[in-house]
Parts: sequence; structure tokens; C-alpha cells
Amino acid sequence: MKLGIKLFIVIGVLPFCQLLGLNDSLGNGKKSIPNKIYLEPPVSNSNGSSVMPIASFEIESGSNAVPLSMVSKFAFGGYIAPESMNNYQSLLSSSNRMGAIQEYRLALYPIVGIEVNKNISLKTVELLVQDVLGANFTQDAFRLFFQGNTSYLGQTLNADKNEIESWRNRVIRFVFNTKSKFFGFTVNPNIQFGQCLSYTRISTKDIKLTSDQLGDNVDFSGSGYFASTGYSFGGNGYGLQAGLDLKKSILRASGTIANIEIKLQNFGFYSFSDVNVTSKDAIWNANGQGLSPDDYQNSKPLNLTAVQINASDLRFGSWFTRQKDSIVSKLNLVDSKRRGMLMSPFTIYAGVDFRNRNNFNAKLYNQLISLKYINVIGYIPKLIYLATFKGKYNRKKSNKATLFFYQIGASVGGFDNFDINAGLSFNALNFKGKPLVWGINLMGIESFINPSKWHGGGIGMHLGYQIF
Amino acid sequence: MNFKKVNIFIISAVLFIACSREQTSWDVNSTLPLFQTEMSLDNVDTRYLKPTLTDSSYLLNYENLIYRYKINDLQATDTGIDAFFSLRKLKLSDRTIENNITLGQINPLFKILNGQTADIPAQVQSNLDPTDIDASAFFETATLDTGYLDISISNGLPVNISLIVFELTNAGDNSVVALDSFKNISKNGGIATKTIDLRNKTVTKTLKGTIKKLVTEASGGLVLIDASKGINVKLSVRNLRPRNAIAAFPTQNVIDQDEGLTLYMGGAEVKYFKVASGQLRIKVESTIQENMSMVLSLPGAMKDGKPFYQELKMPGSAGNGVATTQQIYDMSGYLLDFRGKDPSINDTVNTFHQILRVTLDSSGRKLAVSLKDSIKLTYRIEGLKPEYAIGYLGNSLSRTGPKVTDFSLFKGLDGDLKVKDINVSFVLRNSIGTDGRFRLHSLEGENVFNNSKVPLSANPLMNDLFVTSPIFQRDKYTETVVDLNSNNSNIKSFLENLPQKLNYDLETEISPNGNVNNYKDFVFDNSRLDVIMRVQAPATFAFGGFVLRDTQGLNLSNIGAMERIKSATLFLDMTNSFPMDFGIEVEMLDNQYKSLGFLNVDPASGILAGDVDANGYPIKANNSMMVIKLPREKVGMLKTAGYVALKMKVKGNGKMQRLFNTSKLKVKSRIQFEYEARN
Repeated sequence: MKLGIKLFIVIGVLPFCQLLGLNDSLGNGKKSIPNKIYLEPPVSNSNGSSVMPIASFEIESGSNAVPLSMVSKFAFGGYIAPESMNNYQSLLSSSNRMGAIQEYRLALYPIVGIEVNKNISLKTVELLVQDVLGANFTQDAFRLFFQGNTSYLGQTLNADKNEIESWRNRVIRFVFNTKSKFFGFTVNPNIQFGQCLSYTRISTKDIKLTSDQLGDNVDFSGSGYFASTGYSFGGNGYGLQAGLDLKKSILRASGTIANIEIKLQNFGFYSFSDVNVTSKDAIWNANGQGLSPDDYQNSKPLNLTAVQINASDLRFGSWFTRQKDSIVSKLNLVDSKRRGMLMSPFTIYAGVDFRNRNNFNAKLYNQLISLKYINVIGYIPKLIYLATFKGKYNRKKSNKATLFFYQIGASVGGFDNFDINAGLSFNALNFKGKPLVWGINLMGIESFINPSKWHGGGIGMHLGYQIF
Repeated sequence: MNFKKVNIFIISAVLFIACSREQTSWDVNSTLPLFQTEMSLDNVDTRYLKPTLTDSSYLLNYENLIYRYKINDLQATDTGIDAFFSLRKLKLSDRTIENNITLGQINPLFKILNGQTADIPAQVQSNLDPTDIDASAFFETATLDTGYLDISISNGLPVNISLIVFELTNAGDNSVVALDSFKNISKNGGIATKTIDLRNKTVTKTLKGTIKKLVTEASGGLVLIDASKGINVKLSVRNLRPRNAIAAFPTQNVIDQDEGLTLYMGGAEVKYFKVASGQLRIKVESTIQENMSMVLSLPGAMKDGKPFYQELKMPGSAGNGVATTQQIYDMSGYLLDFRGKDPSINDTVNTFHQILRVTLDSSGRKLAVSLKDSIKLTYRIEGLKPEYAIGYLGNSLSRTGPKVTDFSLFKGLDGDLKVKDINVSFVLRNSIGTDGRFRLHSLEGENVFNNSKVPLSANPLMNDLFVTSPIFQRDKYTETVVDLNSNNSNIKSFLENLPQKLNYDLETEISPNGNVNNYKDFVFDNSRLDVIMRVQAPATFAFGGFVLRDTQGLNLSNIGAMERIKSATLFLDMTNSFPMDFGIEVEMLDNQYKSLGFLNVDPASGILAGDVDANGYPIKANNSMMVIKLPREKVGMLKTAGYVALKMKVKGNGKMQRLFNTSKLKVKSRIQFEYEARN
């Protein structure tokens, strides 16, 4: 991950994902502006200026309980001190969500794309690397997994049911334009082929651990499984996914324009042929097919006490091994290799932005209301509001007033409870007479201000090129 | 800016980004129960510490092996037979064929006169028409290394033959096999024979016999002309040893041995040998296409009342290949009579009777063989070790020393220990089935902690000691015991020096008087002469500052991911009813025994003694919680530690104290450790 951050800084190509509304097709201006945070690929339009994204990076993390400082460790790696862990656990409730999404994207073809007038035409080819991590967990599971039982001697840690899911995919996506209309919506489908570099799934049920006051007696019960492909640069699973982008603009007599967009992304399946599964009390399909258990059998409670050994066996180290072997044996863990097909995390998005073409000089450029859902564990539907404003600044070289856009808004849901968001987009570094468009946006600004208190946060950056 | 370059750069960047990210790590602090145990002197082997029946106290009974003598490797040297048979040693059958040359064939005129009488004049005829001779009964073809052809010509004519020159050629190339002359063969049945040496000659199955010259005498009167009679040619081959041949080989023995095979026994002269382990391996490699069979019999090798007897079929080679047959027979459990082939005639030693016969089984097929063909037989007795052996073991004298051996009774002990009413014996325990002699030249006890050495001075050990043979039964032994006490030795001061090492110089001799038992000595595989120091004493000790040391190998590799353990604390809940305090020191050592540092042990006062009554009998145990800490700054020691040195300081009250089997040290433990988990 550090390598990724360095590249990110060096290259400086961390655009918005959502250059969607950069065109001003129904407005007067020929300037490109952002109109939403998150989602999706570039749009060109024959009527207005158009920006093709070159590359983008975005990361979104959140939790309804765990603060940003911890989530960022899981996103970027690093060591979490025991004191911090103790602070984090005190913030948890009985049921908690946490997750992170990260995406690198690079437009491969065309970097500068001009549409071909066909019924269906290939618009862009994109290379993406997507990380998705989501978790639903209990406070006691957090304590057990991240702290151990020493701080909870004399107590029962009722970890109960927990679900964790993690994907890392490398995808090549082909985005098409069509001339078709669907209820007045333009239709832009895409299809993508993916390699799953790593996949992990952890699921527990009725996990409970009771330690007596001294730790001389530990009772454990519950069941669950751990499935993982490990990491492979060449991919552990292969998938086929598809998406659909529907757009429509409504112009009212008052001059108000409503741009509506409905989008489905990353919908598809991945096939895995070699997944290592370790399970306890799970009932699996006997033929090795399937990556989730059919059911769980009654879990036998495990009682750990000091193992009785003869004095003659009191060799240094052997008692540790004996107890370890005893625990492993009592846990009755079953290792297996399995194969199967899984639905990859997909995104559903619906949004509408309002702007008034009769009042182009107003500072408020547009307002966006959108709803987004990603089907990953820990994610709930997210409602987003974003207002975009125009601003000007004088360029030193040309001493010309240059337009830029800034955004402010808030969202509710996702991995988080709420986020305060902001963004900035401006043109710079002319290339062959056309500007390169830079953008940056921040999500969960409250968390960056106080990462130990507030949850979640995100950052997105983009680099685009104004075609005309 | 070049977009192509940018593009390639960014593609590379994105591919790199897909590398695995840095791991997230955190510390998990867990507490787990570990083990519980109870230590008492009952855990000590009763050979060393016997509970007494009177008052539950102990009697210390300790034996320390000073020296062990075994008859060196009484093992039969691997012995066997390697035999190689080429075609020269194979033979073809002796065969005879006959062929007639009639009077009509000699001169067609006689066919006209057949049945009549005539006066036949003397005649000389040359180069008569050749007669085909079918020699396929011999072989298809053979080039002979040795062999003979006997040609017998029988005269069936009514006139005497004064000369006949006969030529035998191969029909194919007309090469001459034989050309010889036969003289003066009388009429009406006279015979003349010549032997032709077939060395280096090639003979085919189709021959031609030609009478090169025939000189007959006149009949001297009328004689009956019978055209069917004439000259009979009888060809007999014998002693044929082909260089190469296409022939049907007869059944024949290629090896036939019936003799004794002598093994080297390292100087011992053995009459009987019971095999504990060992094998007989037979390997036959043959390029000849005929099958073979082998019979191996060892009349003097008996097991379950039956002699060793094995038959083995060995298939012939296919085509030009080599057929290899190997058979291994387990000889364990066999009693070998080593007295030779016929003990009633020649009663010898180290020799067993073996009969080995390998036969080439004729199939009747005509097969091609040449001098390149061979049969190689390897027959070996390997790794023959005795369960026991009987015979004369030989006279051997062995001087050993000066040498050093451990004295484990005081291993790791140092300090002030007084023993009460101690009895020490010097024991020679002999399980070798012969007489022996022992002489102790010197014995010195050494305390390695204070470099104190005390030589043993004992009058009974100044002269030769003799040991006798036990009865012929496994594990039986005789003991020659010499008691040492304060009156005949300095044994008390010798022991109170707490020696951990014994320096000795001694001498042993087997069969010092020779073969006096007339080959009735014996030795089992575990027979030996042990020189032992035996110590017996009531377990009543006076402890001052007394230290028990032990160093144990530390193998933490099977625990796994040791590097992730950040700290560990071992809690030992001790309940002690022994009448003495115990202090503990734990030191970590590397693989070269260099100190890596000490672990923190709390409390420093150690384990509290239990309460005892006036007689030293335990009445109340006391609890102590020992905490052994391996803090973060010392956890690195685990990675390099190869050994852990435990030092237990026993602190008594300085008075004589008896130990009872109700004294126990109960231990219950748990471990708390910080472990770095990673995602």
C-alpha cells in the first residue's frame, strides 16, 4: 500500500471518479465542472466541452463505530498500539459496521477519445484495481480478536455472529456508447473481465469465550469458517462482470435542468477453483463445490484447563506444545480445498442534479442528490447531497480570470453514519492548447479533523484532459 | 508530454499497485492455562529411590555404570560365492547319425546285376556323387571351441576295401568339415573309425558326404551282388563346446556345489550360531534364453525343526536382454551348525554346510548362444548377527584408561551435602558365558564445580577380581560384589566430594585360562560385563546451600511464529510440602552455551518450604506464586536460545532431614503472552 501512496503522490494523477457531469451540455458554458462525488467514468458530449479522465484514485472508508485512525491502518497497513485498541473498543456498540473501498483506474483507450457515430461504439478501455473490505462485528468479537482475553479475565466475551469479506480485483473494463434510448435515457453499457488477486471470507456463529478470574479455566464455544485464496499477482479467481449507465436530461420551462443518472456497476460473478477453507462445526457440500457451508452442526463447547502432565514430561517447552496441540485438537478444525462461484460486490447508483441554465453567472452551479448502494458486508444505502459552486482566480502568467469549481455537501449511510464532504476542480498545465483538469475531493472531513473520534473518511483525485 | 510514455508509465504504476499491501498488525494479549503436575520422590525410578515399608521414607539406591565391556561385534563377515559361467561351460548333447551309400550308388552297373552272382574285379573309383547327410539332430549350426566327430565306416560290400577317402562338407558353402582316409576294411561288415577334431570348425545341419576315392579288391570268385548294400557311414559328435551355436541345449547343471563355507568370526571359534538378524541373498543374471532352476540347501541351518531348503525358478532372458532374478531369504531365527559339512568326520568351526545346484532347464527349443552369453550367480550371506553363539570366544585382554565417565548421582549438584549410613559396593555384573578377570588400576572422583579430585583407595580392589559364567539363558548374569566401607576404603570422603566425573583405568580379560570349557562358552547379543558402583543409603540428607543444576535443549521451533511473541509471563502456582525452600534461576543460553541473560523470577525468595513436625514429617503445604517474566526487551533471547539452564537452590535448615513420600510439590501454571497478530 505504501508503494501505492508513493506512486499516487509522485504521479499526481488522482482524479475524481465522477467526471460524469463535467460537460455542460445544456448550459451556456464550455467549461467542465464536477457535479458529483463518486462514480464513474468520463462522459463526452458533442454539444459541450468534454473531459476524458486519464487516471483516478479513490478510497472510501467508514464505520459506524471505529474511528478513522483505526480504519486507515487497515486500509494502508501499520501497527496499532494496544492503548489505541483499548480506546477503539470503548467506542463500539453491540453491533458494528466497518469497511473500505479503494479503486485505482486508468483509461487505456482512448486517452483522448472521440466518439464514432455508430449505434454501438467502444468508448473507453479502462484498467482498474479494486479493493473492497466489509465487516459486521460485535464489540466482544473486536475485543477477542484485537485484544485477547487477558483484559477480560472473569468475563464472558459474547462474540456471537460476525461477518468479514475482502476482495482485491484487477479488472479491464470496456465501456460502450449506444444510440439506443430507454424511456428517454441514453444507454451506455459496459462489460469487464476480472482477476481476483485475493479473496477472504470469515464468518462466525454463536462464538463465546469465558475466562475465569486467573485464566486457569477458559471455555470456548461457537462455529464458523475462514476461507481464503491467499494472494496471487496472476489471480486466484476469474470473473465476468457487466454494468449499465442510463442518463437523461429534463429541461423545464423555467430554465431548470434536471440531469438524471441511474447506474449499475461491477455486477457479475467470479469463479474460484482452489480456496483454502478452515472451518469448525460447518457442514459442507461433500463434492468440494460451494464456498459457504450448507449449515452448522451443534458446536461442542471447548473447555481449556491446565493439561495434566507427568513430572517426567516437564521439559521446557513441551508443555506449551502439549497445550497448543490440545487446543488445536479440541477445536476440531477441518481444513479443505473448495471451489465455487461468488457474486462480486456491485454498485447501484441513482442521482439527479439540478441547475439553471438561465442563470449561468450565479455562484451556485448545481445541486446533486443521489443514492448509492454497494452490496458488500457493512454497507448500507448512502444518501448524498452535494452543492457545486463556481469561483474565479487570476492566472499569473496570462493574468486571465480562470474558472474553478468547489463543492460542499454531506452524506448519510454507506459504511459510516454520516460524512461531510468537499471537493475542488480546476484547470492547469495546458497541453496542446487544452487544459488538464485536476480534481480532489475529501469525504468525512470531520474525521480528518478528529480521526480518533469520528469514523470514516475518504479521498479521491482525478486527472482529466479537456478534449474540446 | 508524450502520452504514450505517460500511458506506459501509468500502466506500470497500476500493475504495481496491485501488489500485496503492507500488513496491519496489532498485539493480542491472551492468558491460557498450561499444565498442572505434581512432583514427589515417587516420580523417581524405584531402581534408585525405594519407599521403605516402615515409615514411608525412602531408601536411596543408585547404580552408576563405570565401564561396560562387550565382545566386540561378534558378527560373521559377509561371505559368499560369485560364479560366472560363459558358453564354454555349456555343452551340447552327444549325438549319432548314420548314412548309407549303397553299391548301386557307388556303381549303377550293380543295379543291373542285383541278385546275380559275379566275380568282381578289383576297382578304383574316384569322386563318387556326394550324399546328403541330415545333421539337424546335432544343431542348426555351431562353431566349435572343442568337440570331436567320430566317423565310422562300415563295409557292407562283398569285397574288401583297401582304401576309402571320405570327405564331409557343409552343404551351404562346401567348406570341409572332415577329410580322411580309411584303409583295409574287410568285406561283409568290417568297420574302420577315425576321429576328427572339430576345434574352430563350423558345422551346419546340412552336410554332404563324398567318397573321394574308393579302392576295392577283387572278390576272388563269384559273389552275390546285392545293390542295396554298400557303405554305412556313422557320424558321432561328442564333447561339443560351441563358441557360438544355434542349438537345443540339453538340461545340465551349471553349478553344483556341496561343500562347507567358512566364515570369519573375528577370532572366535564358533560351533553353533543362532541368527538374530541377517540374510542370504541370491542373484542370478543370465543372457541365455533358457529357464533355470536353483536348489539351495543348508542342512545345518535349522528353524522350527526344519533345515533351510529353497527352490527357485529363474526365467530365461527375452531376446538379447538380461534376465535378473534376485531372492533374499531372512535368516533370522535359524540355528546354524558351524561344525562343517560332516562333523562326524571333520568337526571344525565357523563353517556351515551348503548345497547349491543351478540347472539349465532344456525347453527343446533351438536357441542362439555365443561366447558373449553368460550366467552370473552371486550368493552371499550378509549381516549375520547372532542372537547367541556357542564355542570358544577366544582369549582377549583389554586395557581401558585413563578414561572419564559421568557419575550421574551428583550431576548438577554443588554445595554442602552430608549423607548418612551410606553403603557402597563395587559390582562386576557378567552376562558373558565365559570366565573373566578384572583389575582396577585406578579410580578417581572429580567435582567439576570446585575442581576437587579424590582418588579411591580400597584394599579389596587392589588385586585381580574374577567373574564366572552365568547359566546359558538370556539376561542371566553373575555378580561379583566388593563392599566398600570406611574400614577398607576412603569411600565416604570419595562420595562427599560430590563427584560428577569418574576418571578410571582398568583391565578386563575374557577366558584368561583359554578354552577350558571345550567350546562351551557362549555369548548373547546383549551379553556384557558391567563395572558398576552401587550406592545405597536412607534418603536422609542435610542441606546447606545446595544447588541442583540442569541444562535442557530448548526447541521452540514447533511452537511456530516465535518472532511474533512480544512478551510472555509464566505464572506458576506452587504448593510445596517439602521441608525446604526452593529458589529458581532461569538462564537462557545460545547454542554455544553462552549466556543470553536471565529471566525475571518473582519473588526472589522462591518457593516456601512446607511445615513439618518434629520428626520431619510434612504436616502443611505452603503456597507460593512464582512469576517468570520474559519482558519485551528480552523476548529476542527466545529467537537465539538453544538451551535453558535451570538452577534450583535448595535451602534446608542444615540439619539431617528425612524425605517422605507424602511430600509433594504441586504446580499449576498458566501463561500470559503478547502476540503480534497480522492482517
